[in-house]
Amino acid sequence: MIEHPNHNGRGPATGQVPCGPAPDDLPTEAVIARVIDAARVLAGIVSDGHVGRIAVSAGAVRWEIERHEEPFGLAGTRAREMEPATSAGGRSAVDAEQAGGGQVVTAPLVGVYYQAPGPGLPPFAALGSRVAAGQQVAIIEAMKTMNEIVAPCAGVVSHVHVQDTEIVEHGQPLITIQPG
Amino acid sequence: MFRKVLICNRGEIAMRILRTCRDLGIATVSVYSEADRDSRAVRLADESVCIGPAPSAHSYLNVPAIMYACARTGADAVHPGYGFLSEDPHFAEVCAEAGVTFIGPSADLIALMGDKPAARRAMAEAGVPMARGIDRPLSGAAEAAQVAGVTGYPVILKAAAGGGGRGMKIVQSPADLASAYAETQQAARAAFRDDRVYLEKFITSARHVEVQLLGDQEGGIVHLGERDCSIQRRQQKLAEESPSVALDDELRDRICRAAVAGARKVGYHSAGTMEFLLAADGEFYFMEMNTRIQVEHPVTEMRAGIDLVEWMIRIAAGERLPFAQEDVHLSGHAIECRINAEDPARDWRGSPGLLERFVPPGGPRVRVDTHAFPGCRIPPHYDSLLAKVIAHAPTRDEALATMSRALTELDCGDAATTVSFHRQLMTHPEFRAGTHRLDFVSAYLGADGVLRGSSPAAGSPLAGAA
Repeated sequence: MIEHPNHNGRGPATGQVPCGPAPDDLPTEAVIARVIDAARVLAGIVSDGHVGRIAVSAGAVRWEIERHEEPFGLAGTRAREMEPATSAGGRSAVDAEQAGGGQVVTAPLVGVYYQAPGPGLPPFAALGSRVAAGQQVAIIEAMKTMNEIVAPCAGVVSHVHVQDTEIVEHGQPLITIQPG
Repeated sequence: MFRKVLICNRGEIAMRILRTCRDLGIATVSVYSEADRDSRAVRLADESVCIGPAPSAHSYLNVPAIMYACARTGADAVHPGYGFLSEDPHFAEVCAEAGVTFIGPSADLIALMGDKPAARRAMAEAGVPMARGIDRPLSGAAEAAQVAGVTGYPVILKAAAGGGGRGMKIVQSPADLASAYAETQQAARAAFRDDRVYLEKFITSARHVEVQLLGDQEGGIVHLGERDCSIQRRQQKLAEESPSVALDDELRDRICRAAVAGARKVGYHSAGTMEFLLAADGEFYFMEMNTRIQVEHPVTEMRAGIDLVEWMIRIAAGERLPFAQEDVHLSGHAIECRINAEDPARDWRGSPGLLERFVPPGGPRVRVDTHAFPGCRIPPHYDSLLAKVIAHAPTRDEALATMSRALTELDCGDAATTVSFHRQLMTHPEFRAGTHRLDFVSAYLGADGVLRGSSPAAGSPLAGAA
């Protein structure tokens, strides 16, 4: 089973990764080799920027691979430039973090937050409402471009942190979704 | 006077602007990228707004995000610092349209001086001495060859939209011109998205002498003396001083008057710097004008007793300069050393990361402009300037002694910085004599970070140990 709680892509990522057989006790060398191969594939998925973190279980074996945003080494090593996770216009990326049991949806850019598709219309994701993964939960408008903000997971909207038409900063919490 | 200034910059200059705003009782807004979330200016500003992820294009160069931050905070003015948007005429226009005062000259003046060949033309009309060359972009490699032939080699090719030592190439002989022209165009296209190129006679073994100007919006213009910035590596300044020991009073007067004449001709206001090349024969030639506050401005402030950031703000708010040229008194000698997070022993590679230890110098005759603090992170995304150490004393020898002393106090732990270079520089006989020229660093600095000719122990890690 592959989980990707940090979803930085355009839609739910799908992919099959071969997992070894469930060992009864200590894994055999063959199992370890297959686990390592699978880890390489997963690390590739993580490093190409679309996914921030992957956790994989195969029987009693589980590991988690996470990409660090800012690799700081000893002074003297050069850290690599990070690509921006967002694109202006269209469906925007959302940074989801664990916060008090809920997924906090944050603003990927500076602009005006709109809770609904238009003035007077019902909000995309009202407090207490249920949302599906990938469902639009807000608009952030910047320079007349309407950026769609989507839910990273299915769940219930437990908090709304901003007011309609408020100017939000990059990284500002918008709503919190309790997954489930 | 402004109620609230939004500082759209980072690092030490954000702190610089913030401090003067505080002293003037103006509220401050710091806009920052994700990489600067824990920086000093963000912590100290009255308000702060995160405007984007680390890459400059999405943060410090992100005009819409900055304008939204102005709207969100109600800022009535912005100070752009240096670099980033400070010389972007489009940004200045957007601010004007939004009713937010851009603390600097008008968009037209920025555009004029940012178009380097056009600036040459305008200054030539004002009678400012100019090296031979062309006052408009070249039409192609063929014209470049023709103009270079008339000008006489060596020549220097420059990006029309460049400046600040970037996008330049020296050509020693006609055989090298065609490929140099293509390279300069390509570099200009990549760096400035503008591949127009012009050329000038290259002044060999010159010194870099620049004049600080300050003008109000009613035509009052003064100069605040000159700075000598001949200690450069790959056209990037490492250390600066004022006054320039290469000038006698008569030459100083001529250069400063020429700068004022040029600025007056174009109706310049705000702070600005006119840069010249001083040839070995004593002739000086206009290089470019920078329409912003410069990194090395403290050297002038120490001698003049004038806060340049304060006067940029007052002038932008419509105040007149209350002093004329005869009221300007420059005292003593000031030197600045730029402490960068770079490793001179590894090709000046940037050394980002955690700065575990940072103890700046202090005491009489010493000023330190920095945003660094123990435990701060040096992000890899921006320039590597960590701190500016300035020494000001009655004479140059005393300023050198004070700087040497201050540099022994500066403690950055194990972090790789350029402090070892500066410690060596202060002992180098040619620098001490003041006879150094722009080729000083390339002549003496080795790839190992050793400055040949300086005192052997000066640059060693133990030189600063208590």
